[in-house]
Amino acid sequence: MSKPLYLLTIEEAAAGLQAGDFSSVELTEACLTHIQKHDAKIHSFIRVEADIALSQARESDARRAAGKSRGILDGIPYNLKDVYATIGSLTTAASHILEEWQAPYNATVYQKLCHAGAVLLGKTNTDEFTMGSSTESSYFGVTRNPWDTDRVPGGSSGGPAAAMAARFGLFAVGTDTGGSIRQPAAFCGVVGLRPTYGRVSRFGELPMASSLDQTGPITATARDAAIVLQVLAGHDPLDATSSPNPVPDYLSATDQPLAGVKIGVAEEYFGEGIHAEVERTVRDAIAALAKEGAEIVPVSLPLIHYSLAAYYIIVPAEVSSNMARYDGIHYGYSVERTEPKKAEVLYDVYAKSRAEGLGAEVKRRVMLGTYELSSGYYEAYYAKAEKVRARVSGDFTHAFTQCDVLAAPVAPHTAFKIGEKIGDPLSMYKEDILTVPVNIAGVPGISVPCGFVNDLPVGLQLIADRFQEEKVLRVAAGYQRLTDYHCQLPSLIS
Amino acid sequence: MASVLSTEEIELLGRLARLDLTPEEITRYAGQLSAVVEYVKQLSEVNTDGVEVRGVTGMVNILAADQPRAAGDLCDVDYQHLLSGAPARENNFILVRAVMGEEVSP
Repeated sequence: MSKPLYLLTIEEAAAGLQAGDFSSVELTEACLTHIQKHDAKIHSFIRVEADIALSQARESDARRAAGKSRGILDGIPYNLKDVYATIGSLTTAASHILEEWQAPYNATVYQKLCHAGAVLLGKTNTDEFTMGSSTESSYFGVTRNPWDTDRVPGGSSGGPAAAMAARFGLFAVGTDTGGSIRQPAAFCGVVGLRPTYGRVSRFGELPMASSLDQTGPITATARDAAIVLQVLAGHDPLDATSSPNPVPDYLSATDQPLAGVKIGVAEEYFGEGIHAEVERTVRDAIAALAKEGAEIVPVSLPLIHYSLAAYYIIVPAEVSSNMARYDGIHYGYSVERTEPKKAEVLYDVYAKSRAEGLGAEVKRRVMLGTYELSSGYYEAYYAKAEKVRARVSGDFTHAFTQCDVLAAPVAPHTAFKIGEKIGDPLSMYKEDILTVPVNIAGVPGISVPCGFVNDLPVGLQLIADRFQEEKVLRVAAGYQRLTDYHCQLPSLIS
Repeated sequence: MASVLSTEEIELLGRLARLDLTPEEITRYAGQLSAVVEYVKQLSEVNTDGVEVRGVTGMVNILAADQPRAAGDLCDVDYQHLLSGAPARENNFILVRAVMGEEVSP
C-alpha cells in the first residue's frame, strides 16, 4: 500500500488489518509519529497517550492473532474530546479546575470503544467545559485550524475536528450541545455527526447543558461516521435519558441511492448574515443532490431564528446547576490545597476555588443562569424559552412530514481569525445561529465537506427527524460518492 | 444603552453563584451579561399561549426497577478513590470549614 497508514479511512484500515497487510501497532505508531511531527503547529491534543495507545494496539493484535477480533473498530486508533471520564488518562474538560483530575470510572462511550477494540491515542482540546465556538477558551491554549493556522478550528470540538483534518487518528469522538461537532467539522473540512438527543449515552460525559448535550463521531467520510455511530449508539441503564429505541444498521443505509430522497430547503436557513460565497457553495451542493435524483422540496421553519435566544437561556440555566458540583471540596482545584490561608469559612472555599479554577466564559454562563433562574425571573426566561423550544421543535416535526432530510449551511461563513470574536461574547454566541435549531429540536444533523471558499472548507448541513440518523448518513454518503472535497488534505501535513 | 444589570446585581449574582469576582470582572460582566439579556428578550415576540412543554424526542420518564444491586454491578466505582479527591478528610468523612460566618475554622 502506497499511502501512509494514517491517511486510511476506517474501512480501508479495517480491511488492511484483516488481510494482515499491517498490524494495529504499526498503524498506531504511524499515527503517533505523524502527531509528533505536526501537532506542535496545531495543538489539537491536550495529551497524547502513547503508552495507552500502544498497549491497546498490542492487545488488539493479540486478539486478531487468536482469531478473536471484535469487529471493524478493533485496532483502529482514535482520539476523544477531553470531556469523557477515562480511567488511566486525566480528564480535564480543558479547565484549570480539573487540571489534575483522575476519573474514578469510565464513560460509557469510552467503555464501548474499549469493548470494540479501538485504540485511544489521547485526549483532544475543547473550549472549557465545551463552552465556546472556537476552542479559544481552553485553559490549555487555543487549537489552530490545519487549513490556516491563523484561524480557529471552530468549537467546542475544535481539538477533535482539527485532529481529524490533520489525520491524527482515523476518527474522533466529540460532543455537540449547540453545534460543537458540526461547526468545527465544517471549519476543518471533515464529517461531523450529532445524533438525536438520547441516541448515545451521556454517562461519564462531563455535562454542559444536560437537556441538549449529545455525543457523536467526527470522521473523514460519512461511511466511517456510520461505523462509529453503530458502536456508540444504544440504550444505557446508567443514563436514564438514553433511548431504548432499536439501533438500525447505519452502514447499509449509506449504500442506498440518492434517487427518491426528498430534500427540504427552508429559506430561513439562508437569511441575512450568510457569506455570499458560502451560500452559493451550499446551494451548489443541493443542486448536485437534485441532479442525482433527489427531489427538492421547499419547506418553512418560521421560528428557527428564535432558537439562538432560547438556547442562550436554556444553556446558562443548565450550566449554572451543572457547574455547582465544582466546589473546591469534592474533587478538583481547591484553595484548601493551594492557599488555605485565603479561606476562613466554607463559603470562601467555594467562592475562591471557583473564582480561580473556572475561566471567564464558564463564569459568565454560571452567572447568567443564576440570574435567569432567580425567583421572579424563572417564568420570564427559562419557562418562556422552553415554550419557544417546543414551538421550534413542532416546526421541525411539521417540516419532516414534507421531506426526509433538510439541507442547510452549517455556519454563516468559513473559519474566522483567532482573537476576532473572543472579546465579544454575544458575537461568539451568534456563531451558533445555524446549528442550535437542531439541538433545540433534539434532531440529528451532520456536516459534510461541500467545497472551499478562499481555500477554507465549507460544510453542508443535513438534518433528519428524531432517530433517523440513517437518512442523513444516506444522503451524506451519496454526496461523497459525487465529490472529493473530503479527500483533500491541508498542505500543512504533507 | 443603559445596562440591564447593574454592578450591584452582578455582585449579588456572584455571591449566589459562589464566585469571588474582582471589581474589574464585575464591571465587565455587567456589560456583557446585559447585552445577552437584551438579546434574549426577543423571545417575547413569540406567542406561546397554551404551548405545552414536553421532551423534544417524545421520550417520557423511565423509572428504574427498585431493586438492590451489588456495588460495581453497573459501574465499578471505588469509594476510596471518590473520597481521595477531597482536600481534607477525617476517616471516611470529608472535612470542611465552619459554615457560619463568624466562626473561623482552625
